[in-house]
Amino acid sequence: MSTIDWSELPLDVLGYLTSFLPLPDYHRFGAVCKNWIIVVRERHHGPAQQLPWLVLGEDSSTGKRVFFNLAENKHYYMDIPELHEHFVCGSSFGWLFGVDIHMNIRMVEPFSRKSYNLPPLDFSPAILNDPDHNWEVLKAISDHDLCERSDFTVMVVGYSHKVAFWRSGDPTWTIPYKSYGAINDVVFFNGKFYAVGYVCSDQIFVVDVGLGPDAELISLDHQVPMLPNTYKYLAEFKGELLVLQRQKESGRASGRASRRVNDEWPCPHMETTNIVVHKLDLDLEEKSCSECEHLDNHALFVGNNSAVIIDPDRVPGCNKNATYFTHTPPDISRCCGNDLGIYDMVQKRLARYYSPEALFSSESSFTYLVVFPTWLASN
Amino acid sequence: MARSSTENMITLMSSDGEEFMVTEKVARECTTIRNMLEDDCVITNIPLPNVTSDILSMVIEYCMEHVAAAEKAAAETAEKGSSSAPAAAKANKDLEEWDKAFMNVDVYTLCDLILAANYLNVSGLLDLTIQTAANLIKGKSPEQIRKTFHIQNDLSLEEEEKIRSQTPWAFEKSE
Repeated sequence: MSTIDWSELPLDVLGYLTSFLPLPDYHRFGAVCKNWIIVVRERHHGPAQQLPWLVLGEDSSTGKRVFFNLAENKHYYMDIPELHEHFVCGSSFGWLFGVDIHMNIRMVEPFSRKSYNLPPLDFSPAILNDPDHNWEVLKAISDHDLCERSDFTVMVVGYSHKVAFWRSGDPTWTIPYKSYGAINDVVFFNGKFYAVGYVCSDQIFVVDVGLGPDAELISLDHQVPMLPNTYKYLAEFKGELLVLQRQKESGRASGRASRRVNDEWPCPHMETTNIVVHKLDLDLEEKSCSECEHLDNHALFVGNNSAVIIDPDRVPGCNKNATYFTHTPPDISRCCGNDLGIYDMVQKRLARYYSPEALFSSESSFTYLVVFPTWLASN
Repeated sequence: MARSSTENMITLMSSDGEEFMVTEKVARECTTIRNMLEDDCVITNIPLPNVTSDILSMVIEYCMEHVAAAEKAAAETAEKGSSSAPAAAKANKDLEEWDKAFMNVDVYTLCDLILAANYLNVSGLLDLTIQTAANLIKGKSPEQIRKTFHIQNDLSLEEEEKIRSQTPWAFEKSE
């Protein structure tokens, strides 16, 4: 029989124990008894690193923001007034970007509820030479964690596939000079922002935001073989720039209509067929590239977030050599959520992490309109 | 490669006076003991007033198993020039299985093992026992955690309400 009670374990041992607990369990641990409360309050260790959470829309009856925790296969409902009636359009370093219908944009750290207002995205369509689209936001990221540095830059991709950036201290947003071509994705890599073209564009750009209003999108000569009809993403992996190309099945409209949920295709409704990854060598003059056959056992999370790398050896439940993707539909009026999946680069197989049945369930009270599921990785 | 039969033996003495003879190599798995040996290399008898005999025997069992596994892996590498990946993977898996079976203990023993692993500074055993405890906590409500670990609820209703109100989402019932 033990001489000591679990509640009386030394605080440093209990603190070490909390470093093995994912965030929800960390909070529940901190509500068990007085000693355990102290451990969590003093935050000897943060909670364990965990799989990114999927941020969904708001529950229409309560107005609470809905999160999906992959590790537990469970939804959480959080009251976050700072994001109420906002469209979540990106995430970086544990911060979410939310835009309201007036194009006010803010950053919110959902667990601490810290928030930071950015200048409104008040471009007139004329400036963008694209009167059909307002400045709606496909993606937003920052280059640093604003808890760590007060000088940071936010880059957004608009629905017209143009980019704009704002540096802390700037009065307004800047659209880089010569902002031609449509952009699908942006990443902060080695002190600079890089951008990759939308579906039909093969271009990769670099933009030096330090130049302020003189910044321009400079096209890089590169040798990445760009496949037709793909969504392209950029990610940093171990100090190198990755170019991901997510291929969709061709003729998807007719293909989808003829398919039923129980068809043999492992992932009904999913349009993605595979993901091809290249490593781009920026140091060499000719910007050569090589195709990656695996991710060194790591996992990549891509979508409208800053791409995140997870080491499955440190995060239980994470697949190896896998890309977890979310999808932003080409048309904002279309309900999203059908093309969410995991692509295993070694097995060359697709799997789901979130059931579209749950997403489209009639019993569900989510407001799904204009919801693009967004990865949120804790710091 | 002949194993030295004159390997130093160390006597560890538990709080209840029981003596355990172990090789120095096994004893050195405990960082606390390794540091004692490095400070004073002629030491042969170490009293451990914080560890009971039943727990000390378990700690020694763990250290012996892990030393044997490491020696086996080293011998295979020496024999073949390099370790074969499938054999190493199998050995790792076997050791994991052994660890898993070793952790088939009640929560009182687990608590004592955590304390002993912490005091003797056996990092592998500390991680194993803490991970086991974390697995017992995961997915449970505070009430279920108290029940699992036989912890008295020393919080007033007000205190409990206050804690829960800080992160209410973490305390919602499962779907």
